[in-house]
Amino acid sequence: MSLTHDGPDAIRHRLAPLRGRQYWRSLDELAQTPEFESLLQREFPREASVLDSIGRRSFLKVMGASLALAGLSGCGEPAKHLVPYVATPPDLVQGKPQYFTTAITLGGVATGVMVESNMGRPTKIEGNPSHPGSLGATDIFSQAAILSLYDPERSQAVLNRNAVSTWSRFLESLEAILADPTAARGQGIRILTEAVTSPTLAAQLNAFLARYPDAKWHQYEPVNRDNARAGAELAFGADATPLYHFDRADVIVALDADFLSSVPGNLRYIRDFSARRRVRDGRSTMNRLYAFESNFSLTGSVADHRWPVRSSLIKTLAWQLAARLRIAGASEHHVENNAVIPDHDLDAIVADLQKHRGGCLVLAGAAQPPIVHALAHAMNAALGNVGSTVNCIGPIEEAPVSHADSIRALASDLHAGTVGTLLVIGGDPVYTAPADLDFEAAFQKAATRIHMGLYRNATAALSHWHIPQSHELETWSDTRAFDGTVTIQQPLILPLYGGRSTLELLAWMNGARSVSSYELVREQWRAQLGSDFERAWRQALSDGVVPATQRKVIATTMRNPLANGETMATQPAGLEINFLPDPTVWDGRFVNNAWLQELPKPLTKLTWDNAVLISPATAAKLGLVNGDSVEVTCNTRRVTGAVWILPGHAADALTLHLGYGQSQAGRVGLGTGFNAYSIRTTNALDVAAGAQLRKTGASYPLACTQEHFSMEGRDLVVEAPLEEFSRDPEFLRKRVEAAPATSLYPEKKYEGHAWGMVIDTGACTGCSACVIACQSENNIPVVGKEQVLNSREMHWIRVDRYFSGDLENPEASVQPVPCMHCENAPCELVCPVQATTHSGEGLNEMTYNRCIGTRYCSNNCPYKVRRFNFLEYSALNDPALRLRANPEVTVRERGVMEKCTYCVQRISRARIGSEIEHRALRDGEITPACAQACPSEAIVFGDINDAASRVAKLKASPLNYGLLEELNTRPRTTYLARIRNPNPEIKDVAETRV
Amino acid sequence: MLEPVRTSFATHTGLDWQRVYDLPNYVYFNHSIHVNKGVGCSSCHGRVDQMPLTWKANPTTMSWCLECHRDPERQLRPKAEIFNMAWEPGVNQLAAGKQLGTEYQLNRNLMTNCSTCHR
Repeated sequence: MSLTHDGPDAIRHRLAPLRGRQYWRSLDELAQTPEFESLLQREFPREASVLDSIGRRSFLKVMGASLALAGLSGCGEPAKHLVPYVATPPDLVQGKPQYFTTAITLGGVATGVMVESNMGRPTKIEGNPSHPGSLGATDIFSQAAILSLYDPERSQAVLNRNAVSTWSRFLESLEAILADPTAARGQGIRILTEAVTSPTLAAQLNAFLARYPDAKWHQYEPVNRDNARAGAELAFGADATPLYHFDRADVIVALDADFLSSVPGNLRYIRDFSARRRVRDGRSTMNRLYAFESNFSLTGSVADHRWPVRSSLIKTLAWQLAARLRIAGASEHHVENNAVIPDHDLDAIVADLQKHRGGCLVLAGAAQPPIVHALAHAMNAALGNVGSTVNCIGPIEEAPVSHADSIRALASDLHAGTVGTLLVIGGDPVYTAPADLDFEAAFQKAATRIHMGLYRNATAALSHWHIPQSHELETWSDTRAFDGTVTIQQPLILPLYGGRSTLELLAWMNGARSVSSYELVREQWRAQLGSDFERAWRQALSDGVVPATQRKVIATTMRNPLANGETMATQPAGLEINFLPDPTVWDGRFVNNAWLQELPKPLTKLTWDNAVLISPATAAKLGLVNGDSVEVTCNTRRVTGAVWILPGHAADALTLHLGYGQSQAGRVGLGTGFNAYSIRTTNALDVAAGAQLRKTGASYPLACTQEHFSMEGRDLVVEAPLEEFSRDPEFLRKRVEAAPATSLYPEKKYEGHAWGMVIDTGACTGCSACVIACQSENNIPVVGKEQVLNSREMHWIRVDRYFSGDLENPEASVQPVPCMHCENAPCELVCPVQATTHSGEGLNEMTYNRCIGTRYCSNNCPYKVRRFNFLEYSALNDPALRLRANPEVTVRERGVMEKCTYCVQRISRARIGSEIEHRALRDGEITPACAQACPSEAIVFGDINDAASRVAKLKASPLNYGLLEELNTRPRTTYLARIRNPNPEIKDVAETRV
Repeated sequence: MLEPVRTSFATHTGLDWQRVYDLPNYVYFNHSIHVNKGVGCSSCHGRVDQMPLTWKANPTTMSWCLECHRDPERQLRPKAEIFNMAWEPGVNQLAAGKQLGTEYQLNRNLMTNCSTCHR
């Protein structure tokens, strides 16, 4: 169904006569293939409405682990006994949730969070408003951490040569190693960690190195900041990390820099960036973003101008920009005469930058070579941005190293046979290390191999000892945010599966045989928190940040000149590969997290797999269609994956996402995707040239949510350039068909509150944090790949993505779609049992215990936001996962329709609270899970009867419109049109869009 | 009769209570709002003070709940009487209840919404 059988050439042919702004959801839709036509004829594609007999084995496979969170309530025999506390813990009111601050890390960088705990069970993660890296928002990874915590497939026992052993036996064996008189200085002992930002952990490691001076500490993250680090050294002669102030930036040039999704501090950056894209409250200016990139990223999708450029040419482009900005050393002779983009456009960008001196930004992406980072630093300095839109701080890592060098050095020592004991703390180097290091073989040359980690991964399988590591929510530690701010991590629950604290293990190795992680962290901070330690400690825990711990801004001076023997990239021959962290499973650490696996990846909307992403032109050239299995060859290394055609991808380039194809994973992660690490080598960690694609002739089903629930041919996302909006603020009314003035139905007046929502499509970046937040809050099950292929995914809020314009360089628009809570709700009229009704506050309510599963409501919903439990998705749960469920929300069973409730449980909780306190509900007191997670504050919820509320003010905006308003459904969820800010000087790009 | 309670406290072991009132899991009941809006303990739980062994005094079916949600005046009492097990509706209950309902600012248009109890 999702295969474009007639290929991109035919699409191009059919596209040719189209005029005007053509929105299309997918290549299939554009191509009007018979499959797509037939898809449109059906409510649910592909027999989704039939309870087909899916193989029991495969069903069990997908249902197994972290799938289908639910259980507890709504099924089974009710509990007959109640065992209350003998002595209730202080501050606990039974049945009321408690909140604790802590931090969730990714690659060592912390996002400050508040974790909701229900009777000792952590159930939901929210952002911590006082944390600089969160500001109250969360990303998909920190939202989904709660699922990893309960994942029953996490490692649960100490293993000795893959057989169950005990902690004390392990310690005996470790004792023998440490006490070996022939290695008293720690000769041959190596410790490999991930990036370390924890001051306490670093102190323990350094103490160990002091005790055993010949031991060595290596660090390796497969996705790291090596390039940025080397770039800063090239520019300044010292390591430095740029901190951006998007709130002060009017013009931004992103050189392959996806600062909205894969950069430390991205939540903060999204907030600041989006705030400058809102044209309301009397503001009539907005920022302008130029993006150059190979893959189509979230940043590219919000850009005002985007050019698909092969990664290797970004460097050329950077030199061209630098030369035009008269950066010392970057004279025109560095630039070969092969314009990456038209000179005219380049001039326009440079003029725009120069017009906004001190108020612009040039960003270099993590995958770009050091020279691009150095050039970005130089351009920012030359444009007077330093101190205004960008500042440099020292690195936040405790012992910053080049991760590539560190793993290379370790591998070479391993090969040389000089490593006696290798202790791997976290990570999976056997799987993630560059392929040319042959780490799998090297690893096995260490005499004693110890792995401590959350999962029994590939490294664990080859280790003599495997120690289950405690999850971040199970132990005390500390960590740093993108700006260096420290958060004390506090445990929410005792280790569920016998996990061990890294700090305690290292303390034990340092001779402190019975010290707890709590004491270690407190000791670390005792001196630094001042005289009144206890008070400062409690305050730090309560705030979730330790004051005055951010890294200081350092003065940077450019080193001259930058040329440094760098030669210009020539027009590269053949295909080139971009290795990028996967948008949902990252470097592979989340491969067993079913929420993240089933989250449609932004732009591609693929679930459960990675794919070989190529541009339509490249696909046409190579005769490939979606789902074609191809063999990617890069310097004799081969990997086989399925092709996915991504409009807007640079031509002659592939994007391979890391993290999939793991040989050792739980039932969720096993058998998903292909392993891109197997062709990633040390000399080309980010971009590899000279790749070849060979069609294998087979095809592979990719589960894409892109075509499902199609709403085609209608004005769904409304966009306009800033210039049009300024000229005619009421432009929207001419585009969107208004609701009929008269209605068959009597007007209903809502006394009291009338809940409504506004989603700002101009601020939304499509990051999908709302989807995972909703899943976590509302106990939404995961259904597995086969079920997604049948379009049975259960997400209550989806993020639609539309492409418009040229196939090779389209614009992407995103639109989150929850239930519209229509005042004239079509679903309510057709329910034969009144399972879906209207509340006195205008909510469209769904009463599960009444639903008999006719699905009439879903058939009659023009927005396709209703979800049906075709199978008992929650039944085969591991009991551990039931602990995760939000007790405030019913777990739905098979045969029941469900949908977004505007988080009615939160409305009830707030209302009851306000009524008990005899006060009115305050605006902003109720925040649905999606709005709370949103980093760009694009979702606003409130009382539309209260004219002073934020939501009522937004609904009065000339940009406000309802989806399919002409149907007279009177949706309570409305949208703000998206305003873009293209540069009028760049005509040619603009023309392709009109 | 209180021996198990004393033992529990002394030995710090949990007390195993028999569950008498158990609502289905799709029903969300909040005690605090009832107590704060003038619904006393005995209105639902009966004369627990006179029960040698606790029993379920009311059926807690949906229709039973709705009887009161549709017509709360019959059960509303002054806040001072909330814990009074012996409180009975008086002869003027309808008038008194109506007045209390106004005083407690009952949200009448929401009390029979599905989502008030089911979510």
